[in-house]
Amino acid sequence: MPNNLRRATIAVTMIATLQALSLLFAETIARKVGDTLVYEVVSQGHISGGHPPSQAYAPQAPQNSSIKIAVTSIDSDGTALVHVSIDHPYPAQQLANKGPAWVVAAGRKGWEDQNRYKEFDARLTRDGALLFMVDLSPQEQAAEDTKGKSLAKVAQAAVAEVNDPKYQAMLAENQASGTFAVPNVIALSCAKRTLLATGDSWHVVSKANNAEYDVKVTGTQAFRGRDAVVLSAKSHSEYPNSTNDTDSIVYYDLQAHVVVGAHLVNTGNMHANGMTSTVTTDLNLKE
Amino acid sequence: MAKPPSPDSGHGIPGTIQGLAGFLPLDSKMTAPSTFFAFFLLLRQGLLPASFSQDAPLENPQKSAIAFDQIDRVLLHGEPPPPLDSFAVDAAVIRALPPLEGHAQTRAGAVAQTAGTMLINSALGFVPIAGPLVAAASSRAINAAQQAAEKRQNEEHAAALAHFISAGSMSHFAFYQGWLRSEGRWELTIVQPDQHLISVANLTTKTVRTVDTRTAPETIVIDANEGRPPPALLGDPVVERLPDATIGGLQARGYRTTATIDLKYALNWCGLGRHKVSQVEYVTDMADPQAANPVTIARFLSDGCQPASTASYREPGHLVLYRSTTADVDTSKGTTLMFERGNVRALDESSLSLFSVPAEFKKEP
Repeated sequence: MPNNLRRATIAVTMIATLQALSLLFAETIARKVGDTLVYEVVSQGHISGGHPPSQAYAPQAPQNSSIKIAVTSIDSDGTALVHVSIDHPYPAQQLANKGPAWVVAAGRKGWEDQNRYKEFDARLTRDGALLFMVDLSPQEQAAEDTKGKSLAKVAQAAVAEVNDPKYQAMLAENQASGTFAVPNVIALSCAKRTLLATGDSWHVVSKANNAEYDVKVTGTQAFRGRDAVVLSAKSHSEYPNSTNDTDSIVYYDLQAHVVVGAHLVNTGNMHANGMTSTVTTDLNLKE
Repeated sequence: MAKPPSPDSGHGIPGTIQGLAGFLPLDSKMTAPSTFFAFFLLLRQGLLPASFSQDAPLENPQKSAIAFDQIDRVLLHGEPPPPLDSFAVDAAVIRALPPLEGHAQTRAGAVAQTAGTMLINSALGFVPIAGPLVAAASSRAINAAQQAAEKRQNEEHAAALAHFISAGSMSHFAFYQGWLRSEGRWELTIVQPDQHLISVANLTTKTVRTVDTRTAPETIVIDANEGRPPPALLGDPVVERLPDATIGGLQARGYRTTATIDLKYALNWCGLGRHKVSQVEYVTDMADPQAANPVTIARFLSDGCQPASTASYREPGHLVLYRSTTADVDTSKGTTLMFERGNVRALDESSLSLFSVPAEFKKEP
């Protein structure tokens, strides 16, 4: 190769590398107390195969919710301590004709009562991963002893348990934890990469949920007004009686270090009855 | 079938799992792996030194040609650990367990049953997956009554699963001149560092996937607990020497360590707060095929919540035959995580067939 061509090749390579580096090491927009992120979440389930009751196959209405993340303080390492509130509006249209008016009204009141308690504290890393502190240890979930109690008493106690604000907060935190599992995989693993380029792929072992993912950079695109890197994340788990797959697309803003959107598909298949359950979740950062 | 490297052939560090260090990177950003799958599985089972995940230097390389069986158990709600030398009895209990079958009827039920299956898979990897998935299942219910009913259903299911967790899971391990074989309930992993190969076989589907660690994609380990305060020790631990015992025909020395630890966040099986801990460990004179690695006292006393290692804490470098760690001793919240080993035996060249996947297994790309 002639010298001038070699020099040109080296120069182009260096420019490309610098561009990639500039993307990755772009100045992080520092978070500050009072900053707020709001994600809109739409989730929809679907069942196929197997032999469940026929109503299980009925198309399920999408469930809408929003996750508001408010920064309350900043750690010395830049991690933000945040307060998370989940709003899961009562699906009035979906439940409009599900019984007598007084039953629907009671259901709505119960729903809205529970909705008030869906808030908790978490940590938002500099890279945009939302890390949860939920206590799911069995020590905190010991079932009440029901021996010698009437059915009515047991039922009352059970309802009281799930109406407990602490229990509702735990449910909400766990639900958000599931929603952010893959986005966190992207944010945390991108943070450990020195370069990102279309076609790059890597394998992620997540100690948080004991899962593994194959991640690939599929390109860049404008997403809701931002320049986003588009990444795919896939996982496959096998168990004696079932398999579980996730196939997700995540849109990550490298400049702001925040996940701006995700399309998450989780598919579970049970060998025993051939039933497949698919849950699709769309997550979008509201501007 | 390929032969393992001879002890003096210069392939990494011969004759021990330490040989893995030659190709498995030690920091959290892996640079040249692997079906890290197998590696993580081993880490989960506590066979790889915790230093793989803690960036600590490896020590005490040892030649090993040894095999043993291991039972891992999780005992909840104050169930006491079994007496010493009960490996054979416990193994019989595991063999007698019925298969766990799902009977999902509803969507929420399906979620719970999948959780159950996952629990069987993961609980013995010391991940308390029951809690999160029970909660996830319940969260799909429309109203409090449905939530309550599902919560009860899931708790009953979890209670049934607790029987399996309590009985434990049997794994079989073999080490020979740097090669490692691990066989669990439905998976067989063979690691051959000198050949840069890791094979993971599914014993149910009779398929095998082999990865050349030199060409596999980069593996990155992420941990949502990074940056959190570690368990703290309150006061001084008390170490008591226990009478010598014979376990599986081997002489063993025993120790009981008691202390109180403080958790600033929930650590798998334990809730946050203070926990009185008791740990009983019996070790032999035999060398442990895994390298010894330093673990803080507070961390190893947290083994009742989430194990750090199966290496000896009291006599580093020696093989542990029995260890139980109980958090919240003598209370109904008591949680014990333990392992016991049996059928400890030396290997020789006639054992090499252990390190190959049966020929009838179908190869996956």
